Amino acid sequence: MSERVGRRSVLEERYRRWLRLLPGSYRAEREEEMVAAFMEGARREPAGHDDQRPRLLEVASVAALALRLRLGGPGSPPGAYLWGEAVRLAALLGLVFWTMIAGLYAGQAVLTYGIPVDALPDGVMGIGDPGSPERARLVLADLTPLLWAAGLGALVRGRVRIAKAAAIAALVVPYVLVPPFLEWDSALGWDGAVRWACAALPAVVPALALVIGFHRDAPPPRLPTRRALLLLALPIAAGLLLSVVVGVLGAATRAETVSAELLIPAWMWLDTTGLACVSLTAIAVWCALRYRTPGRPAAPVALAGAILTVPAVLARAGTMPPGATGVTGLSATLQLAVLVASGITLAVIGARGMRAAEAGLTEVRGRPG
Amino acid sequence: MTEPAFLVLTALVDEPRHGYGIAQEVERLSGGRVQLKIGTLYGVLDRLAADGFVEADREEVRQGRLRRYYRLTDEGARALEEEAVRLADNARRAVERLRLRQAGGLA
Repeated sequence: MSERVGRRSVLEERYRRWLRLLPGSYRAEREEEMVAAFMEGARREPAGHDDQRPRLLEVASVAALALRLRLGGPGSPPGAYLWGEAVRLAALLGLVFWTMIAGLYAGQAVLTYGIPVDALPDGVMGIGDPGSPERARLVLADLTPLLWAAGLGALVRGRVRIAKAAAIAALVVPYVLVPPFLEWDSALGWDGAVRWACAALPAVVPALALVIGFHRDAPPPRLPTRRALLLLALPIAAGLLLSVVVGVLGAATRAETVSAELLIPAWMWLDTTGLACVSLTAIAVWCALRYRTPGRPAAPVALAGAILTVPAVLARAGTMPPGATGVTGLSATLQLAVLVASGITLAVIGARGMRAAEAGLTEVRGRPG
Repeated sequence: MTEPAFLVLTALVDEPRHGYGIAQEVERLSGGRVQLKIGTLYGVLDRLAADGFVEADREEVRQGRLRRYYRLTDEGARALEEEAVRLADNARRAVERLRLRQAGGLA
C-alpha cells in the first residue's frame, strides 16, 4: 500500500509541475480541486508502467487551458488580454506580410516563367523547360504563398478555422513541392539544417501565433467585406509592385549595366528577410510616434512587433553569408543592427504597456486600431 | 453550445457535482464516447461560469483533498432546455427525412 501511495505521490508531483503552466492567480483558485479530480481519475485507472506520469492527453489539456488563459480575450485580466492581443496582432501582421510576399512571388512567377510569354530564355536559373513537370512544380511553388492571402482573407472575415488551415498549408506545401534537403549530403551538415530552420522561422512564428492566439474566448472580429478586401488588396498590390522592381533589378543584373556593388545591397533589401527588416522598422517607428501621443495605446502592436522581430533576427543571423565582407557583409550587418534596434524599441514600449496594464491602468482597455 | 458544455450542464441537472464527478457523469451520459480531461473540463466550467450557467455550490475536504461542487443555475437550465429542444427538433427532422427516403419518397 505504501508503495502505491508513493507512486501516486510521484504522479501528483508531476501533475502539479504541469499545472505550473497555468497563471498563478488561476492556480491559487483551482489547483487543489484540479489535483483532486485528476488523482481520483488516476486511482481508478489500472496500474501500469506509465502510471507515474500524467498521460499525454491530460498534459495537452492543461497546456491548452494555460494558453487560453494566458492569451486571454475580452473580459480577461489586463495582462493576459494584452498578451493575447499581442499574439493575435503578430498573427495578423505576419499574414499581411506574407500576403505581400505572395504578391511578390506571384508577380515574379509571371515575369520569370513567362506565364503570358516567356520572359527569360530557356535554361536560365534552372527553371525547367516550358510545359515540363519541373516547370509546373516550380510555378506552383511560387504560387502557393497565395495560401497566406487566403488565410488573411479568412481571418478578417471571421473564419478562423479556414485561416489556420490555410496558414499551415502555406507553411508546408512549398516544402513538399520543393523539398529543402533534396540534395542532402554530409557537406550540408547540421550547420545547413540550422540555417534552413532559421530561414523558416519568420513564417513559422505567425502561423503558430494564429493557431494559439485565436480560440473560443478570443475569436477574430469579422470585418465588413469592403474593408476585408482592402486589407487583402493592399499587401498584394505592394507585392506586385515589388515584383516589378525585382524584375527591373534582374534585367539590370543580367545586362550587367549596373555595378555589383550597387546591386547586391538592393537585392539584400528585397529578399524576405530584407523586407521583414523594413516592415518591422516601420512598425517600430509607428509605435514610437504613437507611444508619445496620450490616449493612443501602442503596447499590443509593439509586443506583436517584438514577437515578430525575434525570428527575423534569427533568420538574418542564420542566413548571413559566411565570411561575407565588403558590400554584402555591410548590408547584412546593417540589417541585423536595424532589426535589433527595432526589436529593443518595440520590447521597451511593449514592456511599459504591460507594466501599466498589470498595475491596473486602462491602456489595454482601449482596443488597438 | 459545444457537446462537452451540453453534457456538463446535463450532468448537473439532477444534483451538484464536483470536478471528477462531472467528468464521470459526462462519460456515462455519452456512453463512454466523451472522456473529458481535467484541463478541458475546467476550461468548459470556466466558460459556463462566465456565462452564468453554473456556479460553485459548496466545498468539501475528502481524504485530504478539496472537492468543489458545482450546480446548475436557473439560467443554465433554461439554456440547456433551449439547446435540447433545438437538438431534438433537428433529430426529429432527420428521422422524418430518413423514413421518407426508406419509403421511397426522396430516393
